[in-house]
Formats: sequence, structure tokens, C-alpha cells
Amino acid sequence: MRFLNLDETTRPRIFALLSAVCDTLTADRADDGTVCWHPALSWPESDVRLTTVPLKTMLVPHREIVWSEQPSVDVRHPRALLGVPVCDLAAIAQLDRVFAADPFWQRQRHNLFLVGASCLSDAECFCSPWSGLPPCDLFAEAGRLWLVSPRAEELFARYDLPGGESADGPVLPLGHAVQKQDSPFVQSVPEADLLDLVAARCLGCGVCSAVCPTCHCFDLRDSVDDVGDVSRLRVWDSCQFVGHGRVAGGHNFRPRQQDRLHCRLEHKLQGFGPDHEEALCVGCGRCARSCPAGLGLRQILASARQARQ
Amino acid sequence: MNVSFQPYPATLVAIESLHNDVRVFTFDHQQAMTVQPGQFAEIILPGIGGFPVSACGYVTAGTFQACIRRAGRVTSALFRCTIGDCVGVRGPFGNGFHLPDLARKDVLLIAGGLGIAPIRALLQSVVGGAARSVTLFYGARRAAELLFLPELEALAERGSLCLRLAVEEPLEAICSPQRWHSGPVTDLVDALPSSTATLLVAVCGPPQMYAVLLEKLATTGITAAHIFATLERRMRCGVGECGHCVAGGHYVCTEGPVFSLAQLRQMPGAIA
Ligand SMILES: Cc1cc2nc3c(=O)[nH]c(=O)nc-3n(C[C@H](O)[C@H](O)[C@H](O)COP(=O)(O)OP(=O)(O)OC[C@H]3O[C@@H](n4cnc5c(N)ncnc54)[C@H](O)[C@@H]3O)c2cc1C
Ligand code: SF4
Ligand code: SF4
Ligand code: FES
Repeated sequence: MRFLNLDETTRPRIFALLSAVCDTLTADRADDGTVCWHPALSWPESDVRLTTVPLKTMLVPHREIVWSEQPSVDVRHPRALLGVPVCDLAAIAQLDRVFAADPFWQRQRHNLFLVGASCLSDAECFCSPWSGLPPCDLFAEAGRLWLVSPRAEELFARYDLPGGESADGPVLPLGHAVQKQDSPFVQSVPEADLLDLVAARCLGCGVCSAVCPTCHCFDLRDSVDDVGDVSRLRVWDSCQFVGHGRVAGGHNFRPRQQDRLHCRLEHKLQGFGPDHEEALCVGCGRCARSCPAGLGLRQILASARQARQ
Repeated sequence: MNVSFQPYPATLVAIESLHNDVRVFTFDHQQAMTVQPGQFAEIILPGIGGFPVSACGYVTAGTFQACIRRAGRVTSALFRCTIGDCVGVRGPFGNGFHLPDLARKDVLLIAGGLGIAPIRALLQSVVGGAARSVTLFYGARRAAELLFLPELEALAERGSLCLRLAVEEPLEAICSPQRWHSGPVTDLVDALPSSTATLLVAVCGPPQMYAVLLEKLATTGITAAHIFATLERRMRCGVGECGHCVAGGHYVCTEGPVFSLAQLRQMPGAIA
């Protein structure tokens, strides 16, 4: 894989080249303490920061028109995100599969230029055992900017920037000292009844799904605007809401909070679909940071383990 | 798979009332798509909402026929529509029934309540075909709630169908005891012949029915791979994106809604 040297002299040039073709954004802490994507003024110097709300918001927004009588023109600019942590890249790879045939996802995805970067862990996150570099365009690591995607190669091919080539590619974060028994990736979903105690603490607020980079439930809502134009929107939903599994006539396929927690754990630890081949959790730790009841994925599994003993 | 959220325009061309709250609607969508038995489509009333519904039979190419119960907000709005009104249709979705080779096989169809809708579509496609015999066990709470009765009885009179009806109310003397049973439709399984090796079974009914019925069928010796059931779940997208329909870790909208009992046994929680 080819790389460009990333140092004091090349950074401004690389940044200028990228800014010429797209809006460049970097994650920064706002006054209210949340971390969001902000316009970048230069190549980010600081460590990678995990945004409070994951990248999926840029691809499946919280509310999005999927059909309307009055076709609208999409004027979204291409954007480059500088410094996407590996867990968020892995999450996008998971959702790429879910939305493989979705024209809205595909359009936004094409407009997003992802610059991944190695990051430092904190107390809540737990990198999954990555099996390779998830799809991205560029990857910044230890003074090198790897040209991962063909379009990144193409973009920089015209310019004479110092760099080199290496068969190994970038070194990914190795994960960190998560106790093996504590790692969600080696655990199966506890039976719903073991989740009783945990469920009693859960508020059913759905924050865990909103902040999870691989949760993708949505509802379809129909709306009529002031002048009578009709449209269909998709709006984020959560399997933690009581109505998620309820059908006409009142029957609810997931009536209790433990049933709904079970549903979430199943998605995170095994995935849905024919294969169940892969955990959808990417270990970003957002659920643990955001849950008002302290029920991150690892905390839930630990409580269920205690209940079993 | 069609992941566009763009509905096909469709015109309501026929409405037939079967019961207080149940009507058969025929939509003309003029598309080259057919909703096969066991598959479903989404009916959309623009500005109001949409809901999934099975095909209840085949009329002509370019039409979709569904038997619909007024159950809530959107179905009620459909019941206010009249012939000539325009709606939207998305689909077809789901796998549909794929019964293995029917030659020298006996087909047993079991329907509870509105479950007759997809079962009728399947019945239309197997009657007069390669199967050695076709039997229908059909149950409802009251006799007046049995749908499509005249056409089912006509098929039975012609000898194309062996029909057994179960209602959960006392029977009047006029009813023929060979055909009618007082009690849940699941009782009828007790009267199955002892040799069940040639049976292929398809079931559709309310969720409570499955818990008892499917394993009961298996105890009669029918292989689990030859017992098919269609699952109902809340569905919004129909294409494996919105997450609502998940049961036992599987997307009912794309991998189902028809599953064999062998598959259902690997899907914890899918049948209550
Ligand atoms: C595969 C499949 C086949 C079906 N076939 C038939 C049929 O042949 N005839 C028939 O009358 N009904 C059928 N249903 C049930 C039908 O979809 C519901 O009765 C209908 O959604 C009720 O909509 P509503 O807006 O009137 O009710 P509300 O209770 O107001 O529901 C609001 C919304 O929730 C969702 N929803 C509610 N109940 C269900 C449900 N049971 N299944 C899926 N989504 C639901 C729908 O999107 C609905 O628009 C089928 C459901 C599925 C999943
Ligand atoms: S686990 Fe936490 S964040 Fe998720 S629904 Fe329960 S209380 Fe809310
Ligand atoms: S389950 Fe929690 S840790 Fe795992 S990806 Fe979702 S938010 Fe991150
Ligand atoms: S109905 Fe949306 S995932 Fe199945």
C-alpha cells in the first residue's frame, strides 16, 4: 500500500488539496462538552476524538425524506472527515452491508471521504479484535498517510508528494487491557430472564441505540406539509421503545424491557440475518458513556453474569 | 430486491365486503410484478401511512388482491376509500411459500382467522396441480367469521379439496359433522391419518396458535422441514433495514415470512 509522509511540511499541502475538492471536517469539543464534527481550519494536530453522536447521522440522518410528491434536488457537498477512529470505520463497514441496496445511503456514502486514524483508548471503549483495516479512503498513522482507496490514490497521483510503499499497511490499535472474560466479543447473549435485574434499572429511553454507531432501526412516517405536499420520512427508532414490536390489535412480540434488552444484545453480539457471523458492536463505548442508568454493553453482560452465579 | 421507497401508483378496482371489518380489495398497479402466495406488499395511503399485507389470491397480471381487516389507523383510512381511488404499492417482499416437489404428496393447509388470506392464495396455486390431495383445516371463533366459505365449499363439492372447519361455539344440528368441528382448529390435527410421511403442511394464524400447533404436528411424525408457517411481525421497510420485524435473530421480512419448523426451532423466541 502506498503512503504519503505526514509531517510539518506535507500536512498543509495535503490539507489544501483535500479542501479544494471537499468540505473538510474534524471532531472537536463544543462548549457544552459534546464532541461534534466542525469545519477544519488545518490538518488536526490533536489525537482522534470520538464524536458523541456517531458517524451514521451523516448517512442516515435522524429525519430524512425518502419519498415525496415533489422531487427535491440534493445539493450536499462532498465532505472529508479527518480523524475517524477505527471503531467508527468498522461501524460504517457494517452498515454498508445493511444498506447495500439503499439509494439514499449510497448517495451520501459516495459523498463522504473518510480519513481514518489510530486513536487512544479511554476507560469505556474496548476495540474489537479487528481482522483488518475497515474500508476508508486515507488512514493516518505514525507520520504516514496511507492511500487506502482507489479514489484517494487517484486524488494524490497528480501531485508530487514525498512518500513510499509498504506491503504491511498501517498498524491498527491493538485493543487494550479488557479482561478476557469481560470482553463482549467472547460472550453469548444471556437468556432474557437473566436480564431481569438489569431491565429493572433500564429506563427504556433509547439513548443507547441513538448513540450506537451500528444501530439502524427506523420508522417510516408520512407527512403532509402546509401547502399539501405529501412525503415519507424515515425517522430513527429504537428497539428499546415499548411499541417497537407491537402490532395492530395490541399484541407485543417484545412486551417486557428484558425482551427488548435481549433484542439489542443479540444485534450487538451476533448480528441479525442469515449468518449471525459477526458482532455488530465495535466497542466504541458510547452506550456506557451515555446511558443514564449506567448500562453499557459490558455492564449489562457483567450484571447478567452475576445473576447467573 | 427493491429498496426504493417510491411506491407504484395503484387504483382500487374492486371492494368486496366479507364481514363487518374484513374486505377484499383489488388494486390495479399495472406493473410486471406478482405477489406470490406467502409474499406481501405494502399498501400506502400517501400522507397517512402504509401497512404490510399478504396476497390473498391471484386475479390477473398487473393486479394485487388482499383481504384486509380494519385494525387501526391506516387500514381504517383504506376502508374509507372507494373504487377509483389511488393508493401506492411497494413490493413484492418476502420469500413466499416454496413447497418442495408436490408429486405424490398430500398438501395440508391450516388457517386460523385472517390467516386464511395467504393460505387461500396458496390453495389457489396447488388445487388441480401435481399434489395427490389437498386438505384445508380452517378455524375461526364463530361460524359467521369464516371467510371465503362459499368458494371453499364449492371446491369441496367438486372434490378438489377436503375441507374441515372448526369454530369455537356450539354447532347447530344442520352442520355436517364430517366437515364441522366445535373447538379450536388445532383439535383437527388429532384426526390426521397415521401415515404422515407424504404430508406437506402450511400454516397461517395468530401467534398464539403456533405455540401449540407446530410441535403438535411434529409429534404426528411429519418432518419439521415439511411444516411451514408464516410469521407476523411489525414491519415498516420490508427490506431488512428498519429492524422492526426481527424474530429469533432473523429478519422476517426478507428471510421469511415463511419458515419451516426446522428453521423456527433454531430461532429462539420466534414462536411464543
Ligand atoms: C407479512 C404480513 C402479512 C399481513 N397480511 C395481512 C393480511 O393479509 N390482511 C390483514 O388484514 N392484515 C395483514 N397483516 C397485518 C397488517 O399489516 C396490520 O393489520 C396493519 O399493519 C394494521 O395497520 P393500521 O395502521 O391500521 O394499524 P395501527 O395499529 O394503527 O398500526 C400502525 C402501523 O404499525 C404497523 N403495524 C401494526 N400492526 C402491524 C402488523 N400486524 N404487522 C405489521 N405491521 C404492523 C404498520 O406499519 C401500521 O401502519 C399482515 C402483516 C404482516 C407483517
Ligand atoms: S440501556 Fe440505558 S440508554 Fe439504553 S434504553 Fe436503557 S436506560 Fe436508556
Ligand atoms: S453497543 Fe455500545 S460499545 Fe458497542 S458499538 Fe454500540 S455504542 Fe459502541
Ligand atoms: S420490516 Fe424492516 S427490517 Fe424487516
